Amino acid sequence: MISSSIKISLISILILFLLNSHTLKAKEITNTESKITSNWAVIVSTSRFWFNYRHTANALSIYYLVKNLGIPDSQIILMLADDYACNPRNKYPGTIFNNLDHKINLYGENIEVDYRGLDVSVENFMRVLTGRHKEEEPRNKRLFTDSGSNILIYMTGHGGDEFLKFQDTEEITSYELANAIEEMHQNKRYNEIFVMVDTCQAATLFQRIYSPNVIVVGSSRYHENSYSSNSDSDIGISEVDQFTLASLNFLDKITPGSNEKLISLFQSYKHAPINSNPYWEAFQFQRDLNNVLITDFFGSSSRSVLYPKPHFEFKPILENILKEKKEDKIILFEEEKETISIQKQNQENLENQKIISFLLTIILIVFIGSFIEKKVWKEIPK
Amino acid sequence: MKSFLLLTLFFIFIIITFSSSNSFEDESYSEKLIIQPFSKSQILFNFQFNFEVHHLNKYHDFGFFPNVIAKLMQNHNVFQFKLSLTQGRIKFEECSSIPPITAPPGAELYATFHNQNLIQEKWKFFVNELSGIFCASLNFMDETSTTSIKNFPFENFMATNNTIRSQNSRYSALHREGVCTENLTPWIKLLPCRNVHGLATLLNSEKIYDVDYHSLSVSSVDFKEKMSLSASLVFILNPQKILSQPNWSFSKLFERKLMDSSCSLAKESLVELYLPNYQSEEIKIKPEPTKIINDLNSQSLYLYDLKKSEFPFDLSVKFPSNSENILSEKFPLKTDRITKNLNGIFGVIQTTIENVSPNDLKFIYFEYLPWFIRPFIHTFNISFSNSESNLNMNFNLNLNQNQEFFEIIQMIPNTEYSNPFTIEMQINLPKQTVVTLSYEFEKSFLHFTEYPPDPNHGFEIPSALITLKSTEIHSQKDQQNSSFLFKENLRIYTEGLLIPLPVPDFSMPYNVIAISSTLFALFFGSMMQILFKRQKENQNQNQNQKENENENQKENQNQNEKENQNQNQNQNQNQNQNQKENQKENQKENQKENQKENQNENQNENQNQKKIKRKSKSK
Repeated sequence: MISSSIKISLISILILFLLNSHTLKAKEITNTESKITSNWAVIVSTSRFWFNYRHTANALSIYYLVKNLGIPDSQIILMLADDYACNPRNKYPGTIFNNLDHKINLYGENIEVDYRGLDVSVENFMRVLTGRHKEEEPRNKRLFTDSGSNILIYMTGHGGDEFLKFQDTEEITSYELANAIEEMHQNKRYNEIFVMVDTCQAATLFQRIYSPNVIVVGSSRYHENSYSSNSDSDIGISEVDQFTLASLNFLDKITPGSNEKLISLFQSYKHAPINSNPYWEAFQFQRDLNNVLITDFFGSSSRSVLYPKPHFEFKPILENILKEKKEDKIILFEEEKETISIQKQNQENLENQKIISFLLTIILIVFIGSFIEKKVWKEIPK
Repeated sequence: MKSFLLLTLFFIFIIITFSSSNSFEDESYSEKLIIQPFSKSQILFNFQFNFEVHHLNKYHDFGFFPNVIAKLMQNHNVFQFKLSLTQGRIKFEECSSIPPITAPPGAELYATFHNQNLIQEKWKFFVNELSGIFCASLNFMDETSTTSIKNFPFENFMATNNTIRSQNSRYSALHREGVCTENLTPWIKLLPCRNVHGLATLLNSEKIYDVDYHSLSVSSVDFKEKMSLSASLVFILNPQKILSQPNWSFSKLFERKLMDSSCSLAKESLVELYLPNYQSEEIKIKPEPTKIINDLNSQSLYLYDLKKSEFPFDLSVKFPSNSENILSEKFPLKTDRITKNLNGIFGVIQTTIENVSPNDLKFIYFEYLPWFIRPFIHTFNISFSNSESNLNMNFNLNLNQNQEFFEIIQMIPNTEYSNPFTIEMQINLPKQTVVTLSYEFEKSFLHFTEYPPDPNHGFEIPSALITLKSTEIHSQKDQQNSSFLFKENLRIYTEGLLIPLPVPDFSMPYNVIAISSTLFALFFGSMMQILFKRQKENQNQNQNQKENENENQKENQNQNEKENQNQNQNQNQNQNQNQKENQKENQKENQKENQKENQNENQNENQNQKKIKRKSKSK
């Protein structure tokens, strides 16, 4: 009887400890949210030649979507390896479609292509990511991100095991991508990165990533192909890839203020229409994945964080004169208040924990003492 | 106090209004659309948007003059530049009127700088910034594809200091550069009314790229105290091809019309429609033009002032049946440029220019080749021939120059990986005469990594440029009679060339690696085998010896073993006997022990019984 009671008490103590620590952790996670200050997008179509029309259509669909969700052209780096809209083989000059009914012209009236033609190379892509540009590089070809920027990197083209082909001549390997992201991390060029890749064996491209706060999604796994879709007999070519189409079907419903989670995008992928198994992974992601919104990457949120944080702000002098009050009003910034209140809560929690642990140790000691008394103490006299 | 405040406010108001009105008056903006027949069934549309700043103020702030261009020119010390992005080529030999702005296929950039120091550096930054603004890959206009023109082909800007500025000029062309909506977008952003109001509303990107020729251009001059910029878009289309009928209208061609009003910021906003002379009843033009000027060298001009006309404005033209846009005027020059491949490495470039006009012409021929095409200057041959007058003359560049026919203005030999070959010469071409320039060249091998992704397509050589001075043509006739509407120099571009360079086998490095590694493996393997086989043989010999020894030993051992076995058998027998004896002894001992134990047990039982008895007693 005694032993069973001890067991129960020990288990209950353990549960109490675990619960306490868990609640603390949850609070810390919620504190790190709302760090995003700007949204950027790097959209790359790496393929050349007319029969790769669909890759440019893929990239432009994402460009169109991202622009509609509020990322301005100045914060989108669009790289298109070939000119398809004004290609002599295009039956409808100035247009690129991803839909069979030709309703939406993805090329539109207002498009800014930052890197085109031969400019789309592995070197330039790496330069964009790492920010190590040549001196003469113009502003619109640079990625001015900081530690508060969320970056969407979308790449499409032909790929294979741990590589993605650029321009039919060179390729970017998984190591290069991983190292570029790590360099960005060390230079504090991003807050979070979302990499979306639509190629054959896309998942292999992420194998070497080792930097924190990176979410990746690829159209297919190792030894799997990605397939095209919307074969258009009018233009005479496939218009879009299955994986991008599936993503677009989900993302089209998103509005700038939507609360749809990124995870539900991943869950929406099904093998039946895509013909491959999309792969997703989060590398050392510090937020709870269930709280990551789609608009954290595809939309635009621009918040300003004052640095260094002001401790207080004087009210305008005119107001004081008008009100004829000579009191210096100190207004704490709301964020400051929040942080202080959070700190206080944390401190209280810590104190509570200390008290609870102290009490629990006393109870433990008592129990152990009684146990020793009953089992050992009596046998000593013999 | 109140009155004082009011006064100050009033003054501030006055100052603001005056300053703003001043800045507004300093700038002017005008838009114009010129529509003219181009060839049998083609029409040329020329959109022109002109900006001018008459007095630059201290702060360089502008009302609607594009700030991007102004800053760009001021930062890089550019006096003037002209950029054009073109798709398609004007077939000069077919055209019945000269396009006001001509451009070669691809991108062409010409710039002059205020002074000569650090021009190369400035050009690099200028080109990159411009490529950023207009979303074109102008950054390929690097040192290796940039040259200078001495004789300035774009004369309309040139006011003073012609000779000085020609030294500070840079010229470059990219034959392969495309033009599409991404170039039009930033171009439209230069206009103060964008494509919301004014003539630019007609520019429907889905329609204006479905044309035979399309050219977008921007040119600007900075006189320090005043600036001007003209943005123009020229395209040539065939209504017969698009609408399958010669009658056209804005709404049919562009699926758009001018809806609300003209751009209110524009000082003037005009549409000029040139048509061959018809009887006014034969041709139906809607709406009614504000002014008609007939008998303009077999052309009539229908002028629309959009400030006065009604909206929506949809210009439509209905031609009488069986009519053609043929003009009597012929283009003065016929050009042709070809390349011949002698064998894989050598080739010939030949340019023929024919003077079709009834007058002698004086023009400037300019040509530049990228560094990987190396011309042999000793093979340069210029021949003049006239079938009528039996003129046939050949010249070499080596001989004393005959200034009667041609004069070399400049010639820069090419150097590898740095500057292109450039030749610029003045040619006096008599009427009905053909001049042929030809030279041999050698193709150079590029580095493995310098080839573009599609090297088998060949390398494009920019067009040669022929400049006819405006005075040259206008002196021939009276200016009023001339059908040539251009006011600047007439520039004619020849075809560009496509030269296939010797292309290496791009799988070569892998083959080399594969072959060399197999060779290495073979060599190394055989060497190793040779080196180690001897030792092995030695070892084998030793082993054989040892084996022999062992065999001997084994035989001996066998003999010994047999002896041993015999001995063992004997021993075993002995042992067995011993064991039996031991067993017997053990058995005896065990029996004794068992007896003792039994005795003890019995004793214990007895004791227990005694205990129980005691307990029962106690109970």
